[in-house]
Amino acid sequence: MRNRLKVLRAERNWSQADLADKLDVSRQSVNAIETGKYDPSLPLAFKIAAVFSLPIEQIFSADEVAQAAE
Amino acid sequence: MSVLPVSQNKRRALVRSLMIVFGLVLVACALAARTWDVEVRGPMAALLIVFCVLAVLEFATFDEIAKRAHYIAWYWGSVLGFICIALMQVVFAFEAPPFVAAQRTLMDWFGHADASGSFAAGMLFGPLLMAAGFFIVRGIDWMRSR
Repeated sequence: MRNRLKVLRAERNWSQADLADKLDVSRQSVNAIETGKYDPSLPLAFKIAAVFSLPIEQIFSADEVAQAAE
Repeated sequence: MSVLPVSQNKRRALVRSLMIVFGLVLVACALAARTWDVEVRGPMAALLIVFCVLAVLEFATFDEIAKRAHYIAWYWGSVLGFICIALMQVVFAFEAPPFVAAQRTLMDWFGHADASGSFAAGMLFGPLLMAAGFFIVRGIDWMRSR
């Protein structure tokens, strides 16, 4: 799974800690998602989408879909 | 209405702070018992129970990623502990020459005990090895995630 969390966060000038506060998770967890070490559950993915006010598919994409798009 | 903070991060910070305070009080009790020969077994048992309740509360405040990290560390850490226990069983079960030196070293280390002493030591040593495995795996994971 790939995600655009880092880009979206940078666009809004948020630090990992800021995003962690908004999602109510730890900063290490935000880092784990950003670096692709952990794929969030559906509830957390929906929460992330709500925080960025974007549909989930604009934040997360399957590896194969992302590769095909490139 | 709950007196605890609404934010999970703040709840975790609160529980962690309480755990540090209770941990320090536990250490202080142990030191007081050693230094001034004070009777602290009762208060220490009560503190330990509170500490265990706080540990459960802390786990409840973990987010899904921290919970998963703990599950993985407990699984692989316990497996590591079990492997150590199994290796020791093999060393003691077989009288093969390569194991004799290892047997002697372990006996020198732990000493000889009667049946109930051996049982109590085994009950303590098994979980200790698994807990050590947990901290090793958790430590490696923490280093990698930094």
